[in-house]
Amino acid sequence: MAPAAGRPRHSLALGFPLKADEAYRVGLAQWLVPHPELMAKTMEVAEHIASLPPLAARLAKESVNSGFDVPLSEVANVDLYRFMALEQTEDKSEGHRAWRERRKPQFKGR
Amino acid sequence: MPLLYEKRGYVGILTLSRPEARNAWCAEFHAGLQEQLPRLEDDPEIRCVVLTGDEKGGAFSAGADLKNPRTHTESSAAHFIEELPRRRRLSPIMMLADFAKPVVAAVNGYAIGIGCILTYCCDLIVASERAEWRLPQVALGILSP
Repeated sequence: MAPAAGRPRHSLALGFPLKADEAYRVGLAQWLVPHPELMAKTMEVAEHIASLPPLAARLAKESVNSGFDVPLSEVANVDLYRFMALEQTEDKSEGHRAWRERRKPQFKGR
Repeated sequence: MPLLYEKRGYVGILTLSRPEARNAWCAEFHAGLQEQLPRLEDDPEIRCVVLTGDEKGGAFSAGADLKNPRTHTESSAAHFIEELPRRRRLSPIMMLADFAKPVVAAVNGYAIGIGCILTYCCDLIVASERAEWRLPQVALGILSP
């Protein structure tokens, strides 16, 4: 099944365990923390994502996930339509305005 | 309900909870994810989902419940083939892989078998030092589908 980095995937499929430090080193995990700090770090990550304009976050995810196994030019081409769609949103205006006015944006998800 | 849900601000937290079995997979997880994921996708108050294992289980998920002799048994090849379209559309793995909003896995211990694959379907992974991924399927005579 599925993506992630090449080598650990194959050794995993043949039954070798992948421990936390190697998972972090090969990029399966993006953060590695002492056990007691896990949920605090996770919520920090989740809250950062939750602070993003929701429509842009959705399409950023879609763009990255669709791009693993296709030529860059293909994703770049579709990204033009994602870009155009997001340009129409109120959150795009709010994001730019808040930046110019040096304040925190208030996103609405539209 | 073995699949626990908590909302914190704009974040929806799903917890695999079967502490007596190291959060091993069960039909309730399967059904719970099938029910919750579309709901979270549609909820405008949810912008990010977190998936983790119950700390009391001491693992993210120990994977398939091997103690149950009915685990990994299909009634027939014909039944399996006929169920493929439904499986493709409705499997929690597929639903998670296609989920529209970002999903963060908090891997708090062993992520075995289907537990391991679940983390692959998430966008970002925060690993505890106790996290460990394993795919024991091959040694058990099967593959991870």
